[in-house]
Amino acid sequence: MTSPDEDLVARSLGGDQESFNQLILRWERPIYALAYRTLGREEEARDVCQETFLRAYRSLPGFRGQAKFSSWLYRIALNLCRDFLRRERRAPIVHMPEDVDLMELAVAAEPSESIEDLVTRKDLSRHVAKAMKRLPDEQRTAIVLKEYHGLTFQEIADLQGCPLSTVKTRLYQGLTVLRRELARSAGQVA
Amino acid sequence: MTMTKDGFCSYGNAREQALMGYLYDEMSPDELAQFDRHLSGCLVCRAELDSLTAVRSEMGAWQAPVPAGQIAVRVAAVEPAVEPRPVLRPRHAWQRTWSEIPAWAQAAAAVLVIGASAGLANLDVSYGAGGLSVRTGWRHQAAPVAVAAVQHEASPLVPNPVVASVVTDAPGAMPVATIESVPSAATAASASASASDDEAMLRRVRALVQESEKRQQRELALRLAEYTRESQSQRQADLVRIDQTLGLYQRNTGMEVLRTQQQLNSLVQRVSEQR
Repeated sequence: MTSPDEDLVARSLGGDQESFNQLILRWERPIYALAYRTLGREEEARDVCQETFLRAYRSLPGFRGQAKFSSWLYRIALNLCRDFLRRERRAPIVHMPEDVDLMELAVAAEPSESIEDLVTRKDLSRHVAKAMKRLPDEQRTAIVLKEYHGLTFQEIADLQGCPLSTVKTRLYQGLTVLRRELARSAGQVA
Repeated sequence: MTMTKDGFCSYGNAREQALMGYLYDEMSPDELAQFDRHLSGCLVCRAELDSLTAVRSEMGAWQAPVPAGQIAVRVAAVEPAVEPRPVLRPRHAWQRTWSEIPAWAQAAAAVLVIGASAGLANLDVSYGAGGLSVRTGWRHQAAPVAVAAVQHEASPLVPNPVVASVVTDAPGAMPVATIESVPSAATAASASASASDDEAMLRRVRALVQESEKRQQRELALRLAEYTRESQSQRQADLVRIDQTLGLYQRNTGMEVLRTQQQLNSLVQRVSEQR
């Protein structure tokens, strides 16, 4: 039986490192995925994920448990992503294209998925990633938190520090842009 | 009526909010019932919901990569434990008293103890041509014997620094340097904590460097694979282009030969007719 986050946090505060490691194990992939979808690069996502847990560990004595532990982690990760994006805008880094390797493609294939389906999915994935990059940061973050992490409107509003209605507007506008961009990509492919 | 003749929805300003609530299934029962009624008569909203649902479905294709192994370094490998909250247990009276004294008072007490020790050791500090001499003990000798003296070549440009000589000429007397090197309990604890911090930092830096090296190697391998793949596909494309061009030339040449044969035939026919 798995312990709830709150128990693991309490034990970590008592000096039990293994409990904190369990929290890392439980949350590292969602945090990594959040950072990846916000930043769009694996390397930076990994760094942000690492830094998130380091900061969380150092700030753990200050965690009062008013919010969920996961929300607290999301907040740290989003702040780090925001800092990263700001730095990048000040001094843009030229990235090598991060395309998909054939080996990775083969590994990523679901057992029941044909290679044609896989290629189609990868193409679509690339188009979605490209379209997401065109969104303003707030809209992209709102969509990522809603679509891929299943947060409620209220949780997103708390994390973004805005009214609930603003979250819905950001989602609507973001989805509308995505719809247009994806239709354009499909048109180019056809 | 929820849709005007020209195809616009008349739900009002709350339309976007309602659409999002409906799309993500986060509506109160009253809101849901109201919007359901609206949807039954509004083609615009139904079409928009369908298209947004399709977008959501397409977004499902965008999966974050799954990195091999652990992503974040575990705390035991990089950091000292979180300062554990104090465990309440009975303590000795003197421990309680000492811990209740403020840090500045403890430091002052330590200075007093060191001063008193120096006095008891009959500390004698003198400064002369040979530099600074520190002497301890009750018995003075004519010429102090320097146990550890740092000689410095006098230079007209560089001021002669203070040269410290620690002299221990009293039997059983402890060198001042030794006395000073005996840390107070607080200093020792702080030094050990600092050393532990340094070690932890060092371990963390090493772990991060290793991590970074691994990533760079992986990145390099990926780039190489990507480069190989691109050059192969480029080669394939070039071959196809060459093949197509050759085919074109062959076709053109064939047509040319055919045309020449036709002209020859026609000429031969005319010549034979004239004869």
